[in-house]
Amino acid sequence: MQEIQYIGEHLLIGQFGHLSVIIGFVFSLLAAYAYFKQVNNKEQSWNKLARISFALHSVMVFVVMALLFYIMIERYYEYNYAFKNVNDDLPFRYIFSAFWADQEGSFLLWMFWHAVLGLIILFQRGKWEAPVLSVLSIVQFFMFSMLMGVYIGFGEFSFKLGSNPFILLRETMNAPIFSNADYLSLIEGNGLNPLLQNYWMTIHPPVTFLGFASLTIPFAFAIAGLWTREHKEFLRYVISWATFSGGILGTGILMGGAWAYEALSFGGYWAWDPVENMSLVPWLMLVAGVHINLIARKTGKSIKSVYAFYVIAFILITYSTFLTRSGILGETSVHAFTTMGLENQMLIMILFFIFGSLWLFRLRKKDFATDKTEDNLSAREFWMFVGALVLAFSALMITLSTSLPVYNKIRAIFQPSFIGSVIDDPVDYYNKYQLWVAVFIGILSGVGQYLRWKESRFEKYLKKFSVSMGISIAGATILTILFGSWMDMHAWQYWVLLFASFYTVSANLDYMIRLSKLNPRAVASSLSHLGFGIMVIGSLASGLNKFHISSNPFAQRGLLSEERLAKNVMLFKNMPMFMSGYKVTYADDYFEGNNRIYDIKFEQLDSMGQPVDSFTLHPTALYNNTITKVAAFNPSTLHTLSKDIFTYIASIPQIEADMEIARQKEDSLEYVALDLMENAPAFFRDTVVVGDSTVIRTYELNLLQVLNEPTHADYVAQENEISFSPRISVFDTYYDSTYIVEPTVTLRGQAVYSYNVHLQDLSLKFKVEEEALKYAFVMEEDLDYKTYEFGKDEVLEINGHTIQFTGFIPNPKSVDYVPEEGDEALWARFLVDNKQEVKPIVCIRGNNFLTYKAIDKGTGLHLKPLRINLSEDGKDAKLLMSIAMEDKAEAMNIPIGVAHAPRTDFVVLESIVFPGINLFWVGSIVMLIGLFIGVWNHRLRKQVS
Amino acid sequence: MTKIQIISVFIIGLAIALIAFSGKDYSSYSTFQKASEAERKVKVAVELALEEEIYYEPMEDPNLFSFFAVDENGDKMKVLYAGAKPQDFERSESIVLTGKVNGEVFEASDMLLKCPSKYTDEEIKIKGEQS
Repeated sequence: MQEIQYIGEHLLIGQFGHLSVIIGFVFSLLAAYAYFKQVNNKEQSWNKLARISFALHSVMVFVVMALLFYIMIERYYEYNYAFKNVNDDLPFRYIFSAFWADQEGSFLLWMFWHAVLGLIILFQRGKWEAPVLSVLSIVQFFMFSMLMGVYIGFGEFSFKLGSNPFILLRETMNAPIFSNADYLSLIEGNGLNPLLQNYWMTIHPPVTFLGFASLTIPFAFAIAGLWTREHKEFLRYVISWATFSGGILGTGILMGGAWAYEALSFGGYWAWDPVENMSLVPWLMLVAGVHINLIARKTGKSIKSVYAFYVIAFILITYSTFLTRSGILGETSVHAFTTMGLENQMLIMILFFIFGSLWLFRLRKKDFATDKTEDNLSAREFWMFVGALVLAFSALMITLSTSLPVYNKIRAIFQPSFIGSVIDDPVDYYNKYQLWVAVFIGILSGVGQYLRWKESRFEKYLKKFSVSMGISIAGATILTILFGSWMDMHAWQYWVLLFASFYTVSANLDYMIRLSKLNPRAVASSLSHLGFGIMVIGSLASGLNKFHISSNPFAQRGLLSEERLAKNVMLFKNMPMFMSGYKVTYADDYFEGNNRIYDIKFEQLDSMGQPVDSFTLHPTALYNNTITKVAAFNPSTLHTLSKDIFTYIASIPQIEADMEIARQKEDSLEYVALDLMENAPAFFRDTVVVGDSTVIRTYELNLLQVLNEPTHADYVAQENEISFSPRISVFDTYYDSTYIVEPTVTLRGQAVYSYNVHLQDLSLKFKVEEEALKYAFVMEEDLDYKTYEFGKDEVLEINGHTIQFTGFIPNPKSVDYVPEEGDEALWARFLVDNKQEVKPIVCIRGNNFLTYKAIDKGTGLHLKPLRINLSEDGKDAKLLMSIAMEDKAEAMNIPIGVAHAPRTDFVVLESIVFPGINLFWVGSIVMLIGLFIGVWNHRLRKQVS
Repeated sequence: MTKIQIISVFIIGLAIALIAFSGKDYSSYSTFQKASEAERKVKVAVELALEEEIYYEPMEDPNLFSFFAVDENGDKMKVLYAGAKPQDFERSESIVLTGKVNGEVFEASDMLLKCPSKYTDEEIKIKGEQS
């Protein structure tokens, strides 16, 4: 095939980008090797090369990102990544979202944070720099390999290494358009999914990936610690990084929940979706690791477990990436996955880190002598370790359950007839087990605070301990009873969980204020535990007690055998509906960009039906970028101290949601033709279904007036057009009520536009037929012209009207007359009935004599100049005119069409009250604040020591 | 063995045991045939029968949505769902229904739609085509 010279492609930037990936790949390996040499040979001379390599690899990460951003900002659609993720209309602020919406971009974001965190460690120039960055460089090496996009091997055994983000569109597919050298001028990008066009998508991924990346640091420290055998030092240095990672990853997970709750119509913040699970699991392991790290620092025991937990947390993050990006989860998740074709490569990476770590553990086995001393049941470390094990249990349960599709797949390899299974009801299933995890954590995190490290004289401490326990149990009991009676507790298990949560709240408050006197060290852990308790209480309150405002018991038809909760109600515009103590009105809707905003007004009523509170919510329908189709419905939530009212639109009429269907529906309407005349009513009979029977409704239509300036909402006046609207009164003979409609018809050039009117209350649609344009546009051949001669200021009486020729005016302007060079043109000015000015135009152009007629709309007189007769002396000019008058009576006959068209001014609304949901958010945030205070404490302590 | 080791083994054992013996919480994708015989809720992977009526008239009942679906055996059945019709329902490639059969209809308590990816490789949008 002949090579085509494509026009307008920017190939250099992509080649440069790909080269940067390869350079970064090489330098990450070199950095790993040089740092390795520095550690293993204890030769400081390697340090310089190592640092330069690491710095250069970081620069390559930044360069690759910058170039990829650049092709997206510039909309270089010859690149697949730009073509897939942006389009011309995408606002600049969403370029970031588009960048990490796709696989390669999110990998780059992850690598970016690795590089940043690595540089921080590099510039600290501590003794951990070399071993930690050696491990981090290996991780980066694997990640760069994901972006390589090269084929290795021969023929059938070729193996694709990585996916190059700079691949060209025409390299990814074979389409006929690429035979056109100028294909770039013809194509436009796909753009960003409208669901991702919000600020959450801008902030959530960077935080989450910082969480992911920060989790690599404790792993790198763990490998480094095992490698250099500096176990004590490892414990001291890793803890602030691990706590930091826990705080950031926790923030990322929480943001994901907030996004789902605030901006998506899931109706909740947590759904036990595989993607959520697999980001939670590493966090659980990490938090467990931090607790064992504390134990190990205090007691010198359990060091092996610290290593194990940090390594497992990292491996779980890579496993989570594998699960969510390999497409293996398939139908079990609402998240849409596209595969990158790198499953094998990711598996190799995971196996490398698993077996590498295991091998290192084996090598260092003798470093960790098994402690034969009996565990001390009255010491804090024992129960803290049990708590960490409970967290690990939780992580294990979630991982195994989420991995069910993996198990199915593996078993199917060995046993092709095997049919995989899925979890029937994920939310119930996970809640059932994790409830007990939360119960244990609640109790352990309360009791643990009161116990002392390495307790040896518990008998003496017992009295103090009993007092504390008494206070906290009493507090928890009172709170549980008060709160529990306000809540609707379905089962005894919830009472247990509520008590355990209040127990950790009261115990940690008591410990923080009474025992530790707000010592900052104690505040960090107490706040975290306290926050955890409040968070669980909030999720109990909002989960168990949520209820639908939008359940209308009268609208049930009982077609489904089980009595189900009716979640949705239908609201007509401006027709209030009463539900669950609220009067709800769909008041208005309007567009802002491609977002259609609905005003839904809520009025809370007391038992007497008097309004006590009112507020308006604005759920939206988000249309696609061309505003032809709804892409998604987004909720709107009223936040109050005690509850949230979450509302979203479950459905709108198809006609409103999809322009294509609207067009089909309009075409399929059966319009009945009616001729309207003034003072002559016409009748339209409509067949309406009421319940199981049909009835005939009769409407009386009267033409009131013909408006030359239409009032239709969609109509925008333009020049050089003919428009009018008949003003029609519609009398509903059944309900004895009258409506006014003004459908409009417009002639613009050759095209006729109809602005139809949908009378929603009566389910009727009105249009003006095209033929009605005759009313404004009398056919020339229908006119009966007669010739008259006018002298200046001469008055003639024609068809009962006086017409006076008052003379010529220069520089005429009109719609029809287009001036040309050399024209001699004049207005001939006439006065009709002594008041109305009518000005036809005469024009001499070369040898031609042109005339342009004028119409007096009031009388229907058409004035057309014929020629100018000069008198023999040339001083006196007489104007020969052709004048006709329209037959008004006939023209007043306006044909219209009336059709039955079902109402489209409604929304289907779902509205849920979440009581106490703020406790969930406040609790989560308090927990994270506790973690960050912990980071602060550890850093301070490290500086001191 | 120390107490901690005993507890560790117990906790890991408990997790594996719970997963292994919670078989009643799992089920394989069923068919309409099997669902008719089953007493409890099952999951059926189906495709939408586009030639049949897809009914959702919010003015009649905003909580009743019905359509016909075909399972992997090619059996067709009417499906009722107590809720609104999901956006872009007609475009879904496959649907995972959770529910049970009652007489002649499958009553779904939950539906998971798998829509084709927005980006299909064969599709290149030509400028100006979308008007």
